[in-house]
This record gives sequence, C-alpha cells and structure tokens, in this order.
Amino acid sequence: MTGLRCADVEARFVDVVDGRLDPADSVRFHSHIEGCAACRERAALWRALAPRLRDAEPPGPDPMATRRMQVEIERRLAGAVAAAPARRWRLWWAPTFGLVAAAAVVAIWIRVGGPQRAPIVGYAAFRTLSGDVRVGDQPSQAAARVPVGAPIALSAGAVVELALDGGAALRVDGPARLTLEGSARDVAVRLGDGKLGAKVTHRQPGETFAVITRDLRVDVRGTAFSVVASGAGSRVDVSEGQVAVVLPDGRTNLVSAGGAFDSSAAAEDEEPATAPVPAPADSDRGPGCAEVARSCQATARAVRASMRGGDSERALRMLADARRARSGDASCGGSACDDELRYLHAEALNQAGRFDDAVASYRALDRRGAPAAMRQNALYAAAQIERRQGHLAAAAADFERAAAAHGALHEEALVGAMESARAAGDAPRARALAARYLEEFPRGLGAPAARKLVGDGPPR
Amino acid sequence: MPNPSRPPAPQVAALVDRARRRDPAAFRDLFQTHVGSVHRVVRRMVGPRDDVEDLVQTAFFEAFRSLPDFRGDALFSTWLTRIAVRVTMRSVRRRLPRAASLDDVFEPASAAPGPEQVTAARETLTLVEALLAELRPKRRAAFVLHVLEGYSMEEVAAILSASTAAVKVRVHDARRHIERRLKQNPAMVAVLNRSGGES
Repeated sequence: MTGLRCADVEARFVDVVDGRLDPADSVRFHSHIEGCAACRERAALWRALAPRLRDAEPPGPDPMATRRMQVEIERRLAGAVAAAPARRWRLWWAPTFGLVAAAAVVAIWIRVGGPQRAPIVGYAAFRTLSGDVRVGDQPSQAAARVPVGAPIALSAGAVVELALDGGAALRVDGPARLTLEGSARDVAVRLGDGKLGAKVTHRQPGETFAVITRDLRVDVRGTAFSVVASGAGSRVDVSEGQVAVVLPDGRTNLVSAGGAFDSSAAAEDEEPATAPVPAPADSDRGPGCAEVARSCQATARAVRASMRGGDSERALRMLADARRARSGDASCGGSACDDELRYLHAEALNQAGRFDDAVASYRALDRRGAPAAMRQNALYAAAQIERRQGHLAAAAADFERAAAAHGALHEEALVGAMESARAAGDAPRARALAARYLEEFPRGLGAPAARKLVGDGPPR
Repeated sequence: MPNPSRPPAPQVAALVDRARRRDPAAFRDLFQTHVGSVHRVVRRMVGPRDDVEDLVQTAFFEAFRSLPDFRGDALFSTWLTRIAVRVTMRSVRRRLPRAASLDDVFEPASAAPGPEQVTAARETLTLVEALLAELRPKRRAAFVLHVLEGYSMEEVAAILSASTAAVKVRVHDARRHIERRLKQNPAMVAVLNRSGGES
C-alpha cells in the first residue's frame, strides 16, 4: 500500500469531513497523520472549521426575489426566441457581407429551418390558418409553434385554429389580438380584441385554463365557450359545462351551458375601470422603443439596488422621474419593463410603509394584466399587508385571487386565504378553501389545519 | 453530496428531458429546485453585492438557452453550477468582490460595546464573507466549491475548466491564507467556535 504525501492528505480533508474516503484511503490517511504532526494539526483544524464555514450560509432569495428572477428569466427566454435568428446571422456573417447578402442569408436560414439550437417555443401550434396572421412581426403558417408571450395579430377575415399541448382547441376570428401565456398546465390566453372560441378538455387537479380580457377573466375546468372582447367590454357565451367569470374587483359569476355573461351589463355596479390595453411586446412597437426599453431596464436595476440598500424614498423618486421622462413616449407605452417598474413601485411603497398605496398598486398590476407570476406575487403581497393591518376579509380575497394561478406561491396563497377567511369569521368560505387545499395538497404543511377546519364544519 | 436537499437525480433528469422538449413548467420546476443552491454559490463567490440576483438569473437564462448542449455527462446541478460560476467569474473580472474588510470587521468590533445587536450567525457570516473576500477570485472559486459546497477536486476542476492539480494548488493557497488570518486574530476563532456551539 503506497503512502500519502502531505499534499495528498490535505486534498482529502473535505472527503474526511463528508465521509467520502474509501476504507483503503482512510487507512493511508490516518497512518500518515499519525506520523506527521503538522498534517494532524491541520486535519483537526479543518475537520472543525469546514462545517462552521459551511453553516455560515448566506440568506437565500426571499419568495418575492425568487418570483422576480423567474419572471425575468421567462421574459428573457421569450425575447431570445424572437431575437435568435437575426442575432445568429449577425454573429456569423455580418462582418463579411452587406445588407443585400444579409437578406439572401436570412432567406436561406428560413428555408433550411436554421441550424443548431432549437428555439424555446410554447405549448400550442397553429392547426389551420387562413388570412393574414402575424406572430410578433413575422407572418405565420399552419403547423408553426406559438411562442409563449409573443403577440398574435389577425387581420379582418383571418381565422386560426390552435391546438394546445394539454388537449384544448382554440378558434380565433379576426380582427383579433391575443397572447398565449403560462404553460400547458397553467394556460392563460390574453385576448386584447376579437372573438375566441375554446373547447377545453377536462383539466387535471392542479391544472388551470383561463382566458383574460381587459375587464374579466374566465376560469375553466372542462367546457366549450366563446369570448368576444372589444373596447366596450367582453361577452362570454357557454355552450357546454360551466365557467367562472372573475371581475377585477374579485366578484365571481358562474356561467353554465346555455348562459352568457356581458361585462358591460355588469359594469353598473363596478368602480370606474382603470385597466389599460394589455402590453404589446417590444417587437410590436416603433424602432425608438428599443432605446426606451433599455432605459426602462436601467431604471429597474437602479431602483432594485436602492431598495436593497433600504432607500425606498430614493427608489420612489427614481420611479417618478422615469414616469415623467416617459410621459411623452405614448407610442412605446405598455412594455413588459413597464410592468416591472409598476411592481417595483408597489414594493417601494410597501418598503416605505405606505401600505394603503402599496396595496392599491399591487392590485392595479392584477387589473392591468401583468404577467401571471407577477400578478400572483403582487396579490400575495397585497394580501399579506391586508392581513397585517387586520383587514381579514380583504386579505382572504387577495390570497384567493393569488391562489388562482399555479405559480410558486399557489399553496401558500391557498393557506393564507383559508386562514384569513376563518379569522374573518367566514366559516363556509374557510371550509370550502380548506377542502380545496386538501384536494390539491393532501400531504401539504397546511393539511392538518385544513382537516380541522373541514372537520369543524356542519355536515355537508 | 453538496446539496442533500436536492431531489433525486432521476427526478431532475426527467425535468431536464421535459425542459429539452421546451415544457415551460419544467423550466419553472428546474428553477425552483436549483435557485437556492445557485444563489448560495454566487453569493459566496461575490459576497453581498447588489447584483447577486442579476447574476443568478443570467446563469439560469444561459443554462436554459443552452439546454440542447447539455449531454448529460455530468449531473445537471454540476453543469448548472459550471454556468453560474462562469457567469460570476466574468462579472468578478470586471469588479472585485465586495465585503467588509477583516480589519473593519474585527478590530473595531472587539472594542465595540454592542455586539448583542448582531446575532452570532450574522457575525459568523460577516467573518466568513470577509475571509473569502481576501482570496483571489480563482482561489476563492475553488475554495467555495470544494470546501464549502463539498464538490470533489475532480468536479471542481470540471466546473472551473482547470486541471485537478491546479485546483489543489488553489485550494491549498486559500487554506493557508485563512489559517494565517485565524492565527493572526484569535477573535475570529472565537466567533467561529461560538457559532459551532463548542469552545
């Protein structure tokens, strides 16, 4: 058996700590340190020191930061899909050829289907397509995949049928504008304008399907229905099954087969609507908008840095300056970065202790139709503030709306809704939420409390 | 064994397969599963800088975009760590790690009356970050990955695209530096011992 040198012994300090030495190595290691006082002393030091250094673990990202990162990654991935072909071309050929040659190369790229790495695309494909249909800036064709987050525009007379990976089918009649968001398990179709018909196969527990217009949200489990959205409001017609129509103030209307819901008829009871038109992607906007978007991202970074340093007032000042600077850029309004700034504004208000303003800002993000993960984050934050302030019914409503999406905070939001409803004295609601929790998370951390709530209630 | 709380490898492999087929839910699950460990590695490599989140999200973005290049020769977590380290080292070259200097942390603190305000854990973290901040970037990366994260020398070599011999030298140099600093300042040893619950 060959002996070890001091350097070999040192290279095994961590293996000793982690118990990774095999028996032969262990014998050699210990026989060396028995005869070498220096190694013996260092081995003892690092055996004690390594676990302590490891235990000094930096704090992990909080749920808000995690969601923020996830939203940003999804946004960058969606952006990479749109930008990938042009960028690859520039990297390979731009230094050699001029603009005319570039057009030819791009044409070849498109014909061949592009080299290398396939872009990340969404959970749906065009089954049939007629008329002028564009995804982003590009005309589309049958069988093409539809990237998540890319704006789809249909001219008058155009019709598309979309097949979703989860088994649903959509038909959209132009003129229309829509965007697919979420995932195959958590479908969200954002309908700006136009008519959409949907045939949705039964969703599994934990799966959702929603159509969102500027003034309502249609939540579905398995049904056939149509939605018409326009500037005047939205109308939902159900031909099979049942859907839940959720209004911006949280009111929910169940609509069964043969029934319809018209938001303009329901508007009499509502507050004045403040929701703007859903955000178009950068590619939909003018050429100067790229610069505006870069400036927006720089502002967002600076605001985040200020907030991490605890200077929320400075963050709010920067956001106000950015808003003033952008007030003349109406043509570039409504970018994804705008949503990020609005979210940061709500967080800065929260950090500054202006809780009522923060709650209003968080809720405005939901009404505005920010990305699903951001809306969930915002509603969850609003609910936490409401709960701290003792507004338990409002907290329960916000938690419940946050739980409507199946993001990272879904389970926590459901528990929050259940507990807040119970604390607010709304026992039937609390029991219903507890039953829903147990159906989705029978072994979840909140299951014992949920069982107690369900068990406490009268026979159902 | 760097992260015993991570889900079993087959479960991660299934997620990676789904992500390769561009399932957005798989991306989300992979992110949720690994964000804690990637954040920890990045934070240990750069200290309490204000762009840790940016580095973490860049690492995930680059990893997800490069998934077709992931051949499965290494664990996904190791491959992801390699990308995170590369992203972080790129940033470190542009900007030195920031942490309170050891002298700032200890000499005034030993004379200061109010250490009660700071928990022992936070004090230890400050000490460890200050110690790490004194290491050169390559030594720091090797030390963090091997000693703190528990990767083997060979894994660290693969992550850093270096030879195993080079990694051993970097870890040795880092250890010697830390040993020297602890000898110079016994207060540091006291802080570490307190956090370990032993004397």
